[in-house]
Amino acid sequence: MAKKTSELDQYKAKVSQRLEELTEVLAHVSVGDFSKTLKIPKKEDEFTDTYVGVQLLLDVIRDNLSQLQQVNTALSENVRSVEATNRTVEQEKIIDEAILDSIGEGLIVTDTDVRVTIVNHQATLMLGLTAKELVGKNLFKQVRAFDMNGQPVPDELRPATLALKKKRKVTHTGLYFATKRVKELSVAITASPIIVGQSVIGVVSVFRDVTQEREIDRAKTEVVSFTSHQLRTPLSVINWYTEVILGNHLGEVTDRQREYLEVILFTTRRMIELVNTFLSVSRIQLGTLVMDVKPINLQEVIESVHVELAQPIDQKRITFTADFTDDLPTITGDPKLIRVVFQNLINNAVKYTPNKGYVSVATSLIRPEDKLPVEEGVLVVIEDTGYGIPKKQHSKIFTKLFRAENAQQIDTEGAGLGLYMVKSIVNYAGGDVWFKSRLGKGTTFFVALPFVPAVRGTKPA
Amino acid sequence: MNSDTKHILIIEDDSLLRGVLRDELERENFQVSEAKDGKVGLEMATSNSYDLILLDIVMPNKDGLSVLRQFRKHDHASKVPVILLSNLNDPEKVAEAMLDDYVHDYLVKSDWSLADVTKKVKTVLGVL
Repeated sequence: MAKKTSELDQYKAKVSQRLEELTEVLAHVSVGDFSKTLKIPKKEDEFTDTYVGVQLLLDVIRDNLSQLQQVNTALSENVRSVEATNRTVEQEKIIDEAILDSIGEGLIVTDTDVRVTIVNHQATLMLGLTAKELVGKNLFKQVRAFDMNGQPVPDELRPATLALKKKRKVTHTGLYFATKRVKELSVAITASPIIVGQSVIGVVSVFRDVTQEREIDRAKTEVVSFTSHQLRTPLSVINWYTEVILGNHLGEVTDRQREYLEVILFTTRRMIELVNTFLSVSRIQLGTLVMDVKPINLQEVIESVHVELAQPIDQKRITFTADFTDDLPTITGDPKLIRVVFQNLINNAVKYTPNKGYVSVATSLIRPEDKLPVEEGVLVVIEDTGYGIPKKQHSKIFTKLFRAENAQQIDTEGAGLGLYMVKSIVNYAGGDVWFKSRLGKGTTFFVALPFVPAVRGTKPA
Repeated sequence: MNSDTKHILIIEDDSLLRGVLRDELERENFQVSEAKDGKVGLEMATSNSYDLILLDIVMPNKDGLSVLRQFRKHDHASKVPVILLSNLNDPEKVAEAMLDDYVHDYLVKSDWSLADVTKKVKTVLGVL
């Protein structure tokens, strides 16, 4: 009987011990402490398998946990660094937006389908549209454009389209914008293509409100106009009184007196011409120049200008040739204005060509394939073997009151309005004028006139 | 003055211009009367008979166009030949006045010489 009890007791004690050991290790593991491991008894017993199994399991868990912790640490670091980058990007974005919004001009970025991708605060203010009403929408449908004559500008001719097509900056200083909230906004706009690599991915358009500038311009022009009007009557008076004296109606005029009186007459006539020029120019700028459109025989116009210049041509022994295409079609336009164009250009050619030089005038038909600024019309080429225009001054040749340095030396009295007049008239009639010149070699002017004048609204550039 | 002498009325507000025109036309043996503004011009045009009226378009108070319209309503001034004097300050008014059947032409004072004016006057009066 004693033997049986002791075996049972021993067994109970062993089971208790094993369970205690298990419990202890599991307790440690439950708080993450894997340092305590199960001691596998040397003598194999009923618990050995369980012990080995549990320990293996615990080892696996411990390894997995350790890996997880590593991954967790790495992830946390990543998250921290991404957050840091995000904050920097956020800040930069805020700074960029602040920059965009502090630009005093309107800025709109459009993609290749003319959909708005970016619009700045100033643009929304000027257009009376919210960013929401613009972004993602077709720009041309939200913002309509008109030229100086009030004619709508077709989509193909809007600066954004032209910049996309031509892959270069396009500027237009004479447009009006209209949106659903803003009836009319005078703008000057520059559209630049955004080029990445070789392709254009969009256009940045920057525009500003030029209402005040235009008003000032208009006021200036009206002052010029008014003054010109007021000057004409006194000039007529001087002219006629001088004419009476020169006619010997107040007594015989001596040769010397005649000389001086003729200078008065000549100078007064020049002043009248200047006044007339100012007036025409101001009317062109105001868009109020009334063109008296009639058929023009260019040959007749050029020949009559030639006759007018017979004296200086003769005196300087200049060889003047005129070459008219057979069947030169008549163009329509304002004969007086067109005459002024050729008067100026041919007079300049004669004036700025030294003795025994050559001046030639040639006309030809323009066809669309010539790729000239005018699709169909007449091209007049005026060529001389004169002093030429210094290259540095080429870009300013058509500006008001500009005279090239060498011209200033040859003729101290020119006003510098002639070419400005020429360009104004030619542009106003829908044509274009340009030139090539080499100092000391000569100058060639090209005038392209359409068959029918198409009045343009933009100011000559 | 015999009845052949043509009688011209100059309606022009600038006295200097008026004076030199008058002298020149008198030298050409015309009889010349002057009016210094539209109101006087209208009175004279409607109360006397003239062979030709030189009419300034831009005048203070009453401009040439309205003077023309008004004296045309009077019998003996309804068909009097008229030459407009202009400085092209008001091209629209000139264009409108030119629609009148008896307005022969407009001359631009600053562009025309006195000799040209005289020639025109003589042409219109049929004495050239």
